[in-house]
Amino acid sequence: MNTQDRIHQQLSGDKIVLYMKGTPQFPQCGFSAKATQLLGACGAKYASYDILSDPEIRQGLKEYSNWPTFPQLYLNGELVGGCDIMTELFQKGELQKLIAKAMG
Amino acid sequence: MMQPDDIKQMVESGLPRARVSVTGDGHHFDARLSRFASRGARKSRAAIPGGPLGGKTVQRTVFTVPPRPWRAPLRGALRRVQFCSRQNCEAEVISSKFASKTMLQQHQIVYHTLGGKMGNEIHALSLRTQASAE
Repeated sequence: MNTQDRIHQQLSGDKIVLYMKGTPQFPQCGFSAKATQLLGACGAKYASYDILSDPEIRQGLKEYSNWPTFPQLYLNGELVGGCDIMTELFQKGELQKLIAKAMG
Repeated sequence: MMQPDDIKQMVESGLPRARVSVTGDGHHFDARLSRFASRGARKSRAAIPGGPLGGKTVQRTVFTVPPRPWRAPLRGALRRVQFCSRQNCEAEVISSKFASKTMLQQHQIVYHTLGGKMGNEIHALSLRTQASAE
């Protein structure tokens, strides 16, 4: 399976997917840590993938999404954004709604 | 290493007439070496790329099981690089090109002006974008 297929499979496997540096228990970057905190505050159940341990996915995602940095949050296979966008959406109360909608 | 002014210049040349401000310390290495005891930790030595500690080698511990901080020995022989931010900059960009674009697209436009540097030479750039009237 090539990288783009793997990404597609990961994104179709869960409604909420976070690609991050490290894991939610041990984030390896402040921005990834913040993303997990925001998702936690929204009560989200999500799948997370550590891109530091998977260089192919890391590079493949940059092309897949046209987005150069991590974390990257996907809802129903669509890129929502990184830490800044998540923060801004959260402050407006929109992230909570998007997450609730995605969890159905 | 990219400095805030370099970033500002690149965004400005990619987005003519945009108002751009970039602040940050350019060279900040935000590694926190924290003390944790751990079982099953794999120790390795890793060089820190860039920043004031550039080239220095630190001991890095990769955890395979959650560390038990309450068992941390005071000597702290085991350390972990907790954060990887090598550079923290904040940018605010106001451009007419952002009109009727989503926040995601606005950020993508700014990233595009930075070529392949975003995520590489520029580790992190906190971004705020705003559309302006022409």
